[in-house]
Amino acid sequence: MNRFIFIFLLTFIYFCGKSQCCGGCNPIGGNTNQGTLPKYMLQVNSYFRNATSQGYFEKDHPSDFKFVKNGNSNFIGLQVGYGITKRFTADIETGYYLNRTQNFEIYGSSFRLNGYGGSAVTLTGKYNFIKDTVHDFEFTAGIGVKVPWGIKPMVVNGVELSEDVQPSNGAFGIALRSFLFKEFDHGDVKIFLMNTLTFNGTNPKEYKEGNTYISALFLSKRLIKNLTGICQVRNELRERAYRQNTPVTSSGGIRFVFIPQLNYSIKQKFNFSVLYELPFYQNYNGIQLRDKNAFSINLNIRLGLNKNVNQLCEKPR
Amino acid sequence: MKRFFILVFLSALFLIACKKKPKPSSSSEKLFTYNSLTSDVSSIKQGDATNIKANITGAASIAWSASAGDIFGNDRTVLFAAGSCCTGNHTVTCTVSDANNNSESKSVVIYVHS
Repeated sequence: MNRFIFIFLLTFIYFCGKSQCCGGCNPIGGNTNQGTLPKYMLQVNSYFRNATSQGYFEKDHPSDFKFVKNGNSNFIGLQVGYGITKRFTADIETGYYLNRTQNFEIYGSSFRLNGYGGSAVTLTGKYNFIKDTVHDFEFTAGIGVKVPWGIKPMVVNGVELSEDVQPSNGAFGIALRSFLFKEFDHGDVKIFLMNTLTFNGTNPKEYKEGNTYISALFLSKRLIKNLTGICQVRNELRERAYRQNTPVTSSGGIRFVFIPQLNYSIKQKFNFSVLYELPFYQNYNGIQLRDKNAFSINLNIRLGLNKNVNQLCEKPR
Repeated sequence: MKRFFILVFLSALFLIACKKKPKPSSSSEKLFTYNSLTSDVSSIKQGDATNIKANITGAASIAWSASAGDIFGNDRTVLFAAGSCCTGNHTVTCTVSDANNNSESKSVVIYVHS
């Protein structure tokens, strides 16, 4: 496996050296990792995400099961990307849980578990395979390595927290990403599709989170001069988790999330966006805590470290 | 200016050099007796809980962990509960340690059924 990754990276680097074409400026899509950046462009994307969960789902319908009363998390994320060549962008992504909390009601008494701390660091290389400026179409793919902030589970007041409130799953992983982008001249409409496959390793406690397959379809339209509306529909498919090589019955499933988003752009350098995540279909294996909703605020800064870079964000004609 | 930097450097050196080394423990005597670790019941339903009690005498610090499930409390008696995540046998471990670097662990197995 290691040899495969090494060869893959070498191939990437080789093609980067041969690159002749151009990486344009992709649209902003909230807190998701996107396509490539123009050469010498630095992008800093920071966001805050609040998520809540409440009630249980058994398959695709509500369950009477009672254990966790509700849960919430507050997360700060940071992505820094840099266009190394016209076709190759490297980025680093990390995040920190301000809290990852579950409130319980057991035998009429209330209990709370609260984890906090760094989640993981993901290093990604992305290569722009197709950039057709005539038809406004591009395709980018990348591979990332996920490194946990810590491999030891978090202990609070002498008690080791359960997986559900740990800030990090303590396992290494690999993320494969692809990005398809199409712009329509008519009505300033852009469509982009992102796929992310995350393969999670097993942590030292012999717990393996299920691999995830995420597809997100974005439809972006400029509303007024600097304001863009984006509709995202995301599909998340998660495989079962494994504990000591035994599948965890109530783990994994599928969910669809509708994410409307507003993006305000200042001089194509600063983008401020707000988005709301509303799951509209959830189908879980066994009985699982239901995701209620989430909202994020996002600040994206794109800086050209070369004077000509910012001009690349103008659409070529 | 040069003199000032030399003075700061020497002061820093003095402070580092004079740092007291912690005294090595003169004794490895065990400061606690770990008698038992017991659970009220050995089997619970998903969503239920059981008390787990560590019978310890003496001065010691206590650390709790479970192969799956949630632990509430941090003293000699805790509540172990298992949600929908956790059917099967799960091990709850209580590790006791003292100031002389002695430690001892005991475990109980709780069967969680649906």
